[in-house]
This record gives sequence, structure tokens and C-alpha cells, in this order.
Amino acid sequence: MKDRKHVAWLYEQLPTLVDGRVLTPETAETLRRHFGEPGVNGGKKLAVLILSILGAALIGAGVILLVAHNWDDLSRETRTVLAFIPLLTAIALAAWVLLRRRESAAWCEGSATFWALTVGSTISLVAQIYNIHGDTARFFLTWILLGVPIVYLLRSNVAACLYLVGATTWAGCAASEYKAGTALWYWALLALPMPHMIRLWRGQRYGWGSALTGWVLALCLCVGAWFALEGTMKGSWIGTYTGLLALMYLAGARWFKEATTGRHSPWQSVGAIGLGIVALMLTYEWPWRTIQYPGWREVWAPGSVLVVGNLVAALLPIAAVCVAGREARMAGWSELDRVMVGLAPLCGVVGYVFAAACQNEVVGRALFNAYLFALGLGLLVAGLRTNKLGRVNVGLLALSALIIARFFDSDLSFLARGVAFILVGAGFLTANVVILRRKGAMAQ
Amino acid sequence: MKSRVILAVFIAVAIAQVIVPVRMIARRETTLRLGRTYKFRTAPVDPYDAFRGRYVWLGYEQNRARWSGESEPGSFRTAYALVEEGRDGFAVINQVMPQPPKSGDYVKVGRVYRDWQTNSVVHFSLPFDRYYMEETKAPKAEHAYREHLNRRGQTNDNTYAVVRIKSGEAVLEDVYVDGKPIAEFIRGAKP
Repeated sequence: MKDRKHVAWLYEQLPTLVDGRVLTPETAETLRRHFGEPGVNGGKKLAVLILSILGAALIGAGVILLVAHNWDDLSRETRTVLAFIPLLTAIALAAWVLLRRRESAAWCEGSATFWALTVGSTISLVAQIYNIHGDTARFFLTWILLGVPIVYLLRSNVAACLYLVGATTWAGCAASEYKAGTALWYWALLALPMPHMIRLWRGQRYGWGSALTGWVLALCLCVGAWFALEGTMKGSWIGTYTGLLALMYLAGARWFKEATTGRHSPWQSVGAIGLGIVALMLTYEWPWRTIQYPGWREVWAPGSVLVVGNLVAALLPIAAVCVAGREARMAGWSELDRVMVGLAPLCGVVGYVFAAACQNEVVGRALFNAYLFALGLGLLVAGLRTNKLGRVNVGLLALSALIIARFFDSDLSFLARGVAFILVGAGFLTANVVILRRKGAMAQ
Repeated sequence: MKSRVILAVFIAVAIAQVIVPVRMIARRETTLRLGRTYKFRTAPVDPYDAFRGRYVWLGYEQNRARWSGESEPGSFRTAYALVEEGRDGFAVINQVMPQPPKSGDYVKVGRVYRDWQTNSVVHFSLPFDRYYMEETKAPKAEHAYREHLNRRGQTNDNTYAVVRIKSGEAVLEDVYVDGKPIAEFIRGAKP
């Protein structure tokens, strides 16, 4: 991994390694050539890249705001001609970048950001000039479909992110404006920039582009999945979200396991936080009770939409359980989290079956109370065994969230609640002190 | 990708990005030049669109009519409203149907809802519901409208929208307040 800190450390060690005849001077030079200058050039390049993206985004946003002002003192013909100037400028700039600056990430990203935004501004301006009525979903769909080739032409990660945000916005508008099930096309729209992103994740797994696209896609999926669920059976979100978030976590744990910071592991971070929130929600009664109301289960979508929507909702938890099952074979203490994460969709599906078929919400609630407890305890023990402070604290956080949630919705006395909170706090402190002492002893 | 392929794709994308807005313009220009003019009575408010700016949102008195389809009108169904000119010179919609009519002017209406009291009547919204204005003028337009809008049981023939219609395509040309185009009315109004 070309992490700056690691490269800097390696460069510090190289003279010692050469002096000790562990490496030949030629090998040390080859390593220097391979990794390049640490910090200085990399940092400067990244700064130029960020500034070019920010500059292009600001100019593009400025053009949109100028458009929004509506210069209605000008004639319709003049405004129509003016509508194309930002777009044609962006196309000309992109052509120049493709011919002369194709290897410069800063030029490619900056011009792609500007180009993607001007596509939207031109469509907006034409809609404004001709008072075209407000079908927001159609506006976003036209914009992102015309903009998606920019991702490939200029190999732009920012354009891919803009596309993902646009597709998610489209799903939200389609869920409210169109007939039930239209938002299911969200899944197909997500596939369009995937070849670019998969190539990026394979080639530069821990680069800024992979981190940015990973975070944006993970967050967009969390929002967009909700819109795409519109038209499916009530309560299908339980299987979908437990499955989707578990798959995110498992994918991160498998393919991005060497990430040193949370910034470079969006899948694991979003999967873990999301799954914790969903599991905590499912320890309450209301999610299970809503499934039982007959009125809530009325389905407005046509048959084909119902089949596809519920198939997606069912496949996600099944896939997550299968992947977690494979991980379970090689699970040691350090991989315990993967197995625990895989249990969430299983609990969700079992709880849903009991709530929908047997009108019983107790099973689902009990399963998720037990699950969150086991997850917290498992992470705590695994963290203590492997001396990982972060894991210990996440485990304690899961346990305390469960205890706090239960203590606020039960009729226990203030005395009992007070003792429980003190015990949880003491647990936090003790675990941290134990781990820090162990680490200190190991360092000595 | 090889350079030639990239160049070909680039040219195709650039052409597509220009053609889409050009087609939008061409359809509306044809309607504005060749379409028949109708006047619709209005009732507005003043919202805001983050991308397209401020506009006067127009509601119309003509928002329900007889359903003349054989099957039941479902929600979210696309339908076609037959537009005629009434004796008072304003547009009248007497029928909404599932297919475009063979003769006469019509507009495509988006959502159609069945009236909860009468099965044969449907509610719809006309597709020319936004009149974009410069950001400083739109609030004044809203104020002007509030003073002149057509309230229930009261008809003000001087407040209406002028719409051109051709082959199902409708383009909002102007909005009139107190018998004057709204931009002209605002210029003459007291600040």
C-alpha cells in the first residue's frame, strides 16, 4: 500500500538496511523509484487536485445560480443562445484536456466536474426559458444519463460521485412522483458507473479516488435503497438493510482489510455504524408491530414490480448470510466480527417471518436484543484477546447502547438504572486501562 | 481506450448533450409559433426551484372533468384533456380520455385521480404550472396575483395564463394580471 506514513518509515529504514547489508544499494534505489518521493510531491499533487475540483465545482455552481437568477429582460432568442455557452465551453475545455492533459488527474477531474455541472445548467435554463413544468425526476434522469459518459471519457471520480448523488436524488423523486416500483430502476442506474469504480478499486485500492467513491456509494446506497424499496411488502426494509449493511461490512473486511485509517475503509465504517443503528432500532417493538397491521400490508405496485422488488429485498440478506457462512469456516478471534455481522440478516429474516406469519413481534425483538448483546460482548472479548482498543470500545458502545435503550423504555427504578450506568462506565474504564497496560508491557 | 475510440465517443457524447436541449427548444418553438392560443384562469403561489430559480406556480380553475374512457381511471395514469374555447373566450376542458382524441386540441395531463364522490369525474393537473421570473420580480408577481386572483365564487376575467397548444404539446407563453402581461404589470405597480 502506498501510504505516505509507511513509505516515510521505509525511507528512514533504508540506510540502516543497506548498512546492515540486508538490502543492496541498488535494491534500495529501486524501492525509492517504485514509491516515489514521500509526502512532498504526493501532498502537492493532492492539493492541486483538490483545488482544481473545488474551483470547477464553484464555477459550475456559480453558473447554475446565474441561470437561476433568470435574466428575463433579455429576449427569448438571446437567452436560448446564452444557455449553451457554459456547456460548449465545458466541451471545448474537455476536448483540450483529452488532447493535451490526459495524464493530469487535476485537469481531468476539474474539467469533468465543470462539464457535468454545465449539462444540468443548460437543461435548467432551457426549462426556465420555455416554462417547462416541474417533473424533477425526469430532469435529474436526463442530466445524469447525459453526464455518465464523462466518468469514462475523463476517468473522473468526482463525475462518478456526482452521478451517484444524482441517481439517488432521481430515486427519491421517482418514489414520490411516479407510479410504485419505478424507483426500482435505481439498481440499474447504479450499474452504469460500476466498471469505472471497480477498475479504480482494483488498481488504487487505498488511493483518494477509491476512498471518495467508496464513501459516496456507501452513503448513497443507504439512502437510495429506501427509495427503491417503495412498492415492496411492508417490513421488507428489515431484510434489505440488514443484508445490505452486512454485505458492505463483509466486502470491506475482505477487500480493504489493509486500510490503516477509517478514511480508507468506507465499507466497513458505514456497514458497522449502519448495522448498529438498524439492530438497535429492531430491539424496539414498533418495527415488528407495523408489519402486522393488515392495512399497512396493502401493496400498490403491479405484480412484476412486486416480484422484482421483493426478490432484491430477499436476495440481499441471503447473500449476506452465505458470504458470512463462508467466512465462518476460517474464523479466528480476529475475524469474529465477520461472523457476527452475518448473523444480523438471519435474525432479521427469522423475526420478519414470525411477525408477518404468526403475528408475533416478541421473537424479532428478543433476537435483536440477544444479537446486539452478543455482538457487543463478542467484540469486547475479541478486542481484549487481540489487544485492539478500538474493537473493545466498539463492543462496549454496542452493549451500552442496548442497556441505555432498554433502561429508558422499561419501568425499572432509578436505583437500578443508576447502578447499571455506573457498571457500564466502570466497564469502559477497566477495559481501556487493561488494554493500555498490556500494550505498554508489550512495548517494553 | 484507443485515441480514435475516445474521440468518437467524445464527439457522440458532445452531440447528444447539445441535441437533447435543442430538441426541447424545437418542440416548444414549433408550438409557440404554430400552436393555437388559449386563455386559462389561474390561481398562483410563489415557490422556488434550486436549479431553475424562482417561478410563479400556477393553479388552474380547470382541474376536474368528465372521464370518457371505457376502463376505470387509475391514479398516476397518463391521460389526455380535450381543450376547447368557451363562449367567454377562456379555455374549457369537458373531457379527459385515456388516448389522444382524433380531432381537436388536447394536452397530456400527468396524474389523474378519480373523484371520491362521482366515478365519472376525474381530477388532473395541467402541465404548464410554472412561470419562471427574475428572482426579484417573482415575489412582486406573487403579491400582484394575491390581489387579483380568481377566488371561489368570484371571477376575474383579467387574470389568466396564455398557453399555445399544438399536437398535444402545450407551452405557457405569458401570464396576464389585470389585463396586462405580468412583467409589464409589475413595472407599473407601486413598490
